[in-house]
Amino acid sequence: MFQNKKILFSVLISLVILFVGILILRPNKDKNQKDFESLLSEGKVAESKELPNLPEDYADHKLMEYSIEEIARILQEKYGKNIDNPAAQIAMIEELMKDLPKLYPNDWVKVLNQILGYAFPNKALELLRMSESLYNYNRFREANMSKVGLMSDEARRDMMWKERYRLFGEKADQIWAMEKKMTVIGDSLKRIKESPAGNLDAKLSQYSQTLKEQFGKDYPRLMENKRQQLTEGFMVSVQKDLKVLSYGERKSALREIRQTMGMDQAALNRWDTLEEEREKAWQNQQKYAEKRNQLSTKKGGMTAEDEKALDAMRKQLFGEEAEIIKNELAKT
Amino acid sequence: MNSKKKHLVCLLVLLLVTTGVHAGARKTVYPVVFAHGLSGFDNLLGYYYFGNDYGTFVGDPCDEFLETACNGSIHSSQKALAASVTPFQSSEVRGTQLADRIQNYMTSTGATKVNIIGHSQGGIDARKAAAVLRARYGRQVVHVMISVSSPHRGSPTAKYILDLGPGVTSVVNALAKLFGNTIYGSGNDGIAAAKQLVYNDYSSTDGVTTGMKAFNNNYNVSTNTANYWGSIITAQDSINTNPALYLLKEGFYNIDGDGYCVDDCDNDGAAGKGDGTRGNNDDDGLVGINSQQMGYRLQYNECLICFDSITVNSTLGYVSNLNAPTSAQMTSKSSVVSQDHLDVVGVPPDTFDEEEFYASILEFIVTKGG
Repeated sequence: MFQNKKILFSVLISLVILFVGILILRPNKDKNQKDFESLLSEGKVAESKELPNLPEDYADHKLMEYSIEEIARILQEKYGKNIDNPAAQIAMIEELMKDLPKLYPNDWVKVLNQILGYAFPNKALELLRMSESLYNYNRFREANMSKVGLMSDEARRDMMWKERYRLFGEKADQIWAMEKKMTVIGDSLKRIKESPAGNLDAKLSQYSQTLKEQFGKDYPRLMENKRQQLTEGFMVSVQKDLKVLSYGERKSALREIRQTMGMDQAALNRWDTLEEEREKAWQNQQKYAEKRNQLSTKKGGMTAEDEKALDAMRKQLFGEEAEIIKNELAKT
Repeated sequence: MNSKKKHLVCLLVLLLVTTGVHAGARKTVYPVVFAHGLSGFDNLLGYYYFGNDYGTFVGDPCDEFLETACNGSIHSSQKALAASVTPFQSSEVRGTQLADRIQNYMTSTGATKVNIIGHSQGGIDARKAAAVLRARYGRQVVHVMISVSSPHRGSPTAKYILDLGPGVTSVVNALAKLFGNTIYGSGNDGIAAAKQLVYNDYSSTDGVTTGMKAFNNNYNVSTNTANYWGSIITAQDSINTNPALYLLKEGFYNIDGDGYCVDDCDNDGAAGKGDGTRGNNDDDGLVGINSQQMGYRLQYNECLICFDSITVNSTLGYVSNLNAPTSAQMTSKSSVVSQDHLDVVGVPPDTFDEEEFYASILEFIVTKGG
């Protein structure tokens, strides 16, 4: 009997400790999370109502300038055609969640629910659920900011994607489509960088193909906005290949890379001129470094005369940039 | 209609067509180069820094209705470059790299000038880049130069880390703790980066002259290198600061950054001194307000029901010599943006609207002819 009581007592104590532990360790939900939960559990959306006409010149004004009903009408116009696309859904929700908390600090979740209900009654619950996920995702990012900063790229990526899939399911792939594309391109550049030297043409073709595959019909626009960055990204990755080439071969290889990346004749000509200037500057730097080294290592060190000669040489070789080079030498 | 009226109507129509009826910022005359600060957070080609969590760069314009990975607050044909330089290096090195990137961009696109927005050390690099470009082209290449949260007169944090103050085990580890592990990559030099951000020459025995004072003498505010100079200053109460910076502020180190004196009279690593009170909204977690003004102090006017704007704080005047601002320019909290050092470039947690913030800077650049 006594033995049984002892066991019972131990079990009870353990249960109490477990219960208290759960209470303490349970992540605290803030008011907004509770509001989301309560609205979603009720499953209630704002009753649809007749919305006002689309305000004139609404695109020239901020959303928050309008009444809740007007905002709903603008959202229909702006996002209606693509409302099934998760990227459009998240863009719309972000637009609302950016300013609503500032205008309605105590009940912005309810106002958000109201607007979504007015604008898209058939999708309001789905959109509210996505809003809750976005809110929780942002909280997750805040809570893990320091931790994420110290992780490797791979570990960080894994952690973020795990949370994205947990909160948004398969929609995450569409929401972070741009990031996914850029990651694929980044990985492709990394592979090129790590591959043995040689086959520059094949590497360029592979890179160009990756860009086209990732961006499809948006490829021309991507190149229009980011041609320089994407070209430089590739050049950084093929340094091993470029270093073993003579100046003439390198010049021709660089021209081909730029041409493949879509630069026009005028740009290629400008590059030819710049490459020549840089080659000349490089040779001048070599000459100057040799002279400087020769003077500074001679017995007794550099004299005032030597300094003067070096100054003159610097001015002659580098023109206006001579002063900057002098500053650099004093600091690096 | 007489010919004069016809011309006037044509002109108005042309004006409407060219400027477009557009929400948010107008297109700048010259492309805008975004120069990142220490570290970089740029997993690929400048993404994430100056961007949002979906891989969108604040300088990416939207060209069609409902394109989502873009900044809808800037003009649909805005040209911008997210320039990427070595994450941890001195501004002598990074500034030349930035000049190279800009020259590459100008060569590829045919642009004749650029505007630069530099965050943190990016604003310092930009000054050297402007001087290098001036020398290379034999003319002014940068039109508008704007720094955001830049430690033009040093940061006590850099000196604290170099001095290995309490809580710091090594310069490299301290920077890694603050900015992520990029510092371990090749080409990075955490010590050179930290020495750059101390006001005075950090060591008389290392054979080189480092620090912001010497750098400012060489690359000061000058219309020779840029047409217009302005700066945006950030500071925030500890409670709202990014957790990584909050640690730095409260546990690791706390900047007292709103006092005045000539040069670094209290030898804390930044020009000026404290006013004796820490944690009073006088720094952004890394940089004191007395270090940040360059040229005009700009005021960010956030607006909930209208588009945000940037105006000039005309009462504080112009900092033309970065090593000799007035007492008011170093101590005034007027026009300070209440955000921490990393909020303004898209690093969470924040409720800051980076897309509109940078759009308002672009619009301001337009008003200055950039």
